[in-house]
Amino acid sequence: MDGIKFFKNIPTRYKRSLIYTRLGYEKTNTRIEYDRKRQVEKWINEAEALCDVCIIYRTAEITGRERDLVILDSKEKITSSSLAALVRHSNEAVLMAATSGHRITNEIKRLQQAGEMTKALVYDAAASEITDAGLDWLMGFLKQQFLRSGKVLTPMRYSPGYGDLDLSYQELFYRWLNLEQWGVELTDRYMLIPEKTVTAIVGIESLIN
Amino acid sequence: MTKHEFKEMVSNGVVILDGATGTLLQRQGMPSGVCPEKWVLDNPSTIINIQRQYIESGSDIIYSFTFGANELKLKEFGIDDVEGINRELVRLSKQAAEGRALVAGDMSPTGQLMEPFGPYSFEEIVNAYKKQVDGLLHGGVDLFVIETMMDIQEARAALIAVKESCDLPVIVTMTFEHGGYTINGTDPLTALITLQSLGADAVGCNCSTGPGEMLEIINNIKPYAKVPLVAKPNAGMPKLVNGKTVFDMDAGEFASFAGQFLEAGANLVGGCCGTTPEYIHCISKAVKGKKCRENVRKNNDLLLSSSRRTVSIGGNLPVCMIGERINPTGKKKLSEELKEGSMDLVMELAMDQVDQGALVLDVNAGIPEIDEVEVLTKIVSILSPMVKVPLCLDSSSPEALEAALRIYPGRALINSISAERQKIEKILPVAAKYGAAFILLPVDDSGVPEKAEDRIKIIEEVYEKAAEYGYTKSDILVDGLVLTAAANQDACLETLKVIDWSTNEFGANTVIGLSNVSFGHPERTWINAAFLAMAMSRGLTAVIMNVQSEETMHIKRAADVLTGKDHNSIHYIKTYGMQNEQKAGRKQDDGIYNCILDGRKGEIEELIRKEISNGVPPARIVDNHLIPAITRVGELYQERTYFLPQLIQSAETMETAMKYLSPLLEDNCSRVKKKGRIVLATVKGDIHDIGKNMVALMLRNYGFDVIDLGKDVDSEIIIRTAVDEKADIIALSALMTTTMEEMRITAEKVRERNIKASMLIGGAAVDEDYAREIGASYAKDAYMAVKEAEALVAKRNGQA
Repeated sequence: MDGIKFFKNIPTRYKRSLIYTRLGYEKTNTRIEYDRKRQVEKWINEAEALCDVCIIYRTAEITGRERDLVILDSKEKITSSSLAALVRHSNEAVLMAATSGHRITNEIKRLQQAGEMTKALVYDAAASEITDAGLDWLMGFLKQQFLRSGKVLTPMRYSPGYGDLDLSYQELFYRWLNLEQWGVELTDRYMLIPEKTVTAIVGIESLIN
Repeated sequence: MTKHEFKEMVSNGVVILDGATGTLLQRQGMPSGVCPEKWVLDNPSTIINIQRQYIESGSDIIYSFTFGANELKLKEFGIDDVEGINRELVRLSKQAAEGRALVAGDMSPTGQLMEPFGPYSFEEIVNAYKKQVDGLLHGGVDLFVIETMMDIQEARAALIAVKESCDLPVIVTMTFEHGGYTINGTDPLTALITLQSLGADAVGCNCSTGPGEMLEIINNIKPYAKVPLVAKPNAGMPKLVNGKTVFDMDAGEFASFAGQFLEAGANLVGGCCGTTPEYIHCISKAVKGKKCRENVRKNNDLLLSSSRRTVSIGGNLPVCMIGERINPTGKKKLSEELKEGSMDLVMELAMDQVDQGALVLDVNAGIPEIDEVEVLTKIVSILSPMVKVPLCLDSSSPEALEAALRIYPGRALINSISAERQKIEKILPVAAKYGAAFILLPVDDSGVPEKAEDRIKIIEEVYEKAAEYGYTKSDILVDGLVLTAAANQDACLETLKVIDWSTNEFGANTVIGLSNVSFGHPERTWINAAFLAMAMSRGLTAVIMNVQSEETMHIKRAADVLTGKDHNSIHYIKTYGMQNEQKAGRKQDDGIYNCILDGRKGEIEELIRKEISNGVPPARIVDNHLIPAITRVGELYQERTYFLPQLIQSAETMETAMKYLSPLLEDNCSRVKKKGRIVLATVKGDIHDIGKNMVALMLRNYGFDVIDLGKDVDSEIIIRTAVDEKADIIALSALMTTTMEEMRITAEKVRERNIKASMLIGGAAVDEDYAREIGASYAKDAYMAVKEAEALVAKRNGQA
């Protein structure tokens, strides 16, 4: 499909503290024994090695915008007032997806079946954070690419299922980014498989000097 | 311009670079969406005007407008005359300069990633840049600038392309995001070490940040710089003003940083996005020609780098451990895997060694029947993105070393270079070309000298040759050369003499390959540990060792304290202090209880077996140890002293204990009687089940009989099972808003069919309000699911 770009196995920089937060760690209360901390750290490293983070993205023209509506490339209508507010100064948007691939999700499944729930839990939290960091990586990359041509990205991105951007728009991302080609499936309830797959949209604005 | 002339120009005083060009061209009418380089060639007066303004504002060096004129970028616009477009754009800059300023051939990212992150090989990127270099040279550039690089490996590829094409000076500047890293995780020091050792004539940063953040970067890396430093910041950080993104720092404020850059040690300064000739005029006026802080290295530390980390080896630092285990010599399994092309064991060994504290990994692929060039490069390409520590390339093959060094995205260590003719003639030039550090092995073609004096002569001889290539003592590790004590006990003392000499007289850092010393002895660990401590007392700075040997590691950490290398015993206390810290809620003399609290699943059966063999009835173990322990775990989790992995690990340990004990418990034991029966499922259409599985584990541990139907389960199946099994509770999980409505459907059916089971729901998509709305109870996590289930059962039994 025209205009789709990708990066494979990208070196995401994720915050370990966010993985701990996902696991219920509270800085002021939680105390982790030395051995257990080392074990969790090791599992996070192992999970990272199992994540094959791929990024897929494309740009689209914003051809129409109302209070709660955004039209992409004169054909796709997205009903969402929060998205419309985000891209109010944008003439273009980037649609993006990050997937950590099947190896990590298969391993999480295997660990659960083998009764290694704690390890599965840490892998799961780490993979979620690493996948999200894939989109952060792409935004950093695009930010730099665009800056030299006088463009910037909106400070936030939106994902289907957040705010009033309905999860059913997962279908639009799936189709526009041709995610099938990347081994990603979309269920009839708009879930992406492998589970550690996320999508988002961000606006492109002109920089005023 | 020669490299020497460049060095002289920079040493005479601060050199002023130019500012932004693209945004000024847009103001002059360049439309968006066009190929900027092509548009400029069609409108040559625009660039000539802008560059003249920069020269008049004080720029000593202007950048040719060839930022995006590499093969891969031009291809996006259907342009294939890379050489021609670069040549003509340089000619325009030369025309603007009229000899009043130097013209630097500007190169920038290709916009593509190379293997293993993208589709292009390292050589394809080098070759793409070489085409651009060719055009820039034909245009007559005075020097090169590789700028706005986000990927250290791409910066290396561009630098190699220039170095292999000409001898002109090369400036390389990376772009570091807010927070001080490139998007691929390279920090400024690592970029400096990698690029200056590879031969960049000046290194620094441009774009992404304003002068404030860039100043901090220059300050931090100056003590390690052997080359001039460059700062080319944006006009501040982009800010949202009235909903629009703007650069809001004016020329005066921008130039107020110029003096600070001088003090920090920047030798070349200019501007990037948002700056104009006015900004350059202001900084030129403030600092042009003034001398900046000189490069003064603080110490003689050897600096190695990967793409994401720098490791220092030096006399005032804890001894650097170089993991020795990725070496197939004498290791059958690893040899076989390497022969088959598998990297699984290599990756496992790498991760384990790093986990144990190795700061550098020695990698060796030198066994018969394999292509060392292919296997060593494969190991390097697999490990480079995976582990953050630098690699030590252990090979005597110049070809394998060259291939590996070329693709290694940092500054590697070579193991080793000796006075043997092949090594001096073949490996030393390769090491120098890629700027690798090396282990200097005191061996020559006549063999291994027995006496320290003879080894010292060889060390001096090899160092003299290396110095001809620009090496200094901070670029090498002198190998004390460890021989086997079983063969010659005097040899150990000779090794120590070499370490002593190198530390106190020669002034270079030292290393030993520890395991050799104990070869042929039983219980080798003790010999290794003792010899390591002796060598450390003589000043040893690095050791190639098995970091998985606990005894040796204990001695190493202790010796770091005793030799003053571990300042204030920080590392020692970090390692051992935490281990003795009072663990939350432990009971003295209750091994089983503590084992559950610690979540030591592998030990619980043995502890229980011991208690039973001492005559303790199984039911008493349950009642007196296990139940109090898992109850305490719950309390610790509720007060957040424990987080989820601790809760679940304890639950797993409890499960293992109960699996072992269940067949031994009598029917009247409290634990055999279940608290209640629960049918558990993730609802139809939902594929997420890790949360539900944790709930199942916890419920079972707290005495419930759980029938787990799995994920994506139809409501009819859930209801039928609940009826057939006379369930007390139907517990449902859903993660997505699109599937949570299945919970309502199930709840309605339960009501319509007058089924007595209570409903309990949880999962990321639902909350207490939703639960109330559909007539269910709600649990926010696995532990609360237990509490809610207990409350529901108590209510059903009329206890609440």
